[in-house]
Amino acid sequence: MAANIGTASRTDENRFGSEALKLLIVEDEALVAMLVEDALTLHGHHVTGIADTVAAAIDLVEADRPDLVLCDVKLADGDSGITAAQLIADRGIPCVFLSGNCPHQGGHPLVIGCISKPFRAGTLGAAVHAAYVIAQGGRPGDTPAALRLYNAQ
Amino acid sequence: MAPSTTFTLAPLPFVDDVIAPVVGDPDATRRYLALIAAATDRLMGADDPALMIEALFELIRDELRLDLFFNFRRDGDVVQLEACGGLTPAQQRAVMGLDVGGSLCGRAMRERRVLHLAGIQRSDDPAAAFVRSVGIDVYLCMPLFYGERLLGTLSFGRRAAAPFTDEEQRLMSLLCHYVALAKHRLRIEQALREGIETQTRLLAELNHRVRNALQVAIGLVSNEVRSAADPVTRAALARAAERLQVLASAHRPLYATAEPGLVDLAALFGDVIGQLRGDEAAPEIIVPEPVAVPIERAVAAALLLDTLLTGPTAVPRIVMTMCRDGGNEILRIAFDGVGWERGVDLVGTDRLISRLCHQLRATLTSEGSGCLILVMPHDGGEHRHRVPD
Repeated sequence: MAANIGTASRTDENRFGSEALKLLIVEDEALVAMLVEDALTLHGHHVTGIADTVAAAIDLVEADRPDLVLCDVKLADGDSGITAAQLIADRGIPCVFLSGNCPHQGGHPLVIGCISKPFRAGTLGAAVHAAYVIAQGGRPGDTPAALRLYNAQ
Repeated sequence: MAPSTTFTLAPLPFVDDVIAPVVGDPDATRRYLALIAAATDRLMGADDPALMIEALFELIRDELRLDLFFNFRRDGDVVQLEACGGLTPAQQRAVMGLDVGGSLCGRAMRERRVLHLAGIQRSDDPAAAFVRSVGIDVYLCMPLFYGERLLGTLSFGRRAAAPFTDEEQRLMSLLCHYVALAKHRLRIEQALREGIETQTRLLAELNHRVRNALQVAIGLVSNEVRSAADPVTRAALARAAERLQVLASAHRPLYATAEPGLVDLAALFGDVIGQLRGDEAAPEIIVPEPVAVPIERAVAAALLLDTLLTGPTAVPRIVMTMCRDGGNEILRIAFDGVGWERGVDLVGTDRLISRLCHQLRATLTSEGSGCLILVMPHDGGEHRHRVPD
């Protein structure tokens, strides 16, 4: 019992444990977007949409208010995923980069971290969950190595 | 006894300042101007820093009654002889082993000043030991600067006991500034050449690794195809291997062209059709002008073609045309062959086709029986065409 209490005080697994999240994918490569969508759906999450430009991402964020956004760094039409992430974070929605070339910094407290490509579909769910727990002010029990945090304590 | 020494800073003299003192001597003025013009020509056109200084020395040695020169180059903390002239082979070997720090050139670099010394043969200055040993009596050593950066020194010596006049010093100071500029240019060009060579090596390595990784991936999936017992599983894995092959085809020519980010779309389409239908089913592809597209769009277009080819369709005749719509360049691709008009129906039902069309900002329409039209922006820019939902 004591051990359980101790675990609960160190992390916030129980608070956010099995929550199905509403997620937005911002990705310009059709196949990668499909892969991410399938992986997240498999983990029980709901993908609210897929955007491939900054404008489309903001439209979908404002329409659906997702719990978390996964955002590539390089988007269609020459758009920047870094700009998209900033604008999404400005609207109070946490964001995680999903990129082969992770930025060094998030630039906003709600830009939680970056998942490096290529990623394993199996770790994506755990990484998203950990990022969401952190965004809610909690401490995840297990942060996958694939998720690089920008404000690691 | 120390030689008589003049220390002067090295401001950049104007040509007018150089020739002003000899204005009263029209011949000297003409000679100085001719020297400056010839020296500038050689320095700006040079491609070897040592030969450049040797050519300059030959150009000015008679006019300025010079017997020798040294040019030391400074790279970080390392100083080395770049060129010298007017020495015997034995003296050249001796100067190669000179302790530059303890020499007059080392002093000029440390103090970042011009040194003009006369009466060296009568002096006991240890720093002048080498030039004294080769019979020099008058010596002018100038640091070479590019901005604040010290590039080395250029020094000239006379065996005759005749110090350099003010106008000679100004002329040589001007020439040294030109030398510094020319050396800086050569260093920049060398750095650029090395950068390009590095880039070429990296590109070749990248080419190898990308192709190799894709080939390994194709091999892995193909191996699973062979070991799968279930025909449905085998077919699915074979499709996966086939699509990986499409990716590999798009990357194959990528790093071997003058524009490494672009892919010849017509050649890629021919390759994809050849893979799926066999080389004997070579399609007729009509392209009035070359169509090169960025790799991301080439991959998406090739996967779209691959997906369309999996249906009951004949090998199509393909016509690619370019047109302008407002400020945008549009690529129109017509696929003409039995069954191709049915591709339009797949936009709403096939998830992959729908996503690829969205990525390409492309529309698919049919034009009569057996003809499918794909329209998309050529440059992948901000063309606002109707995008399938």
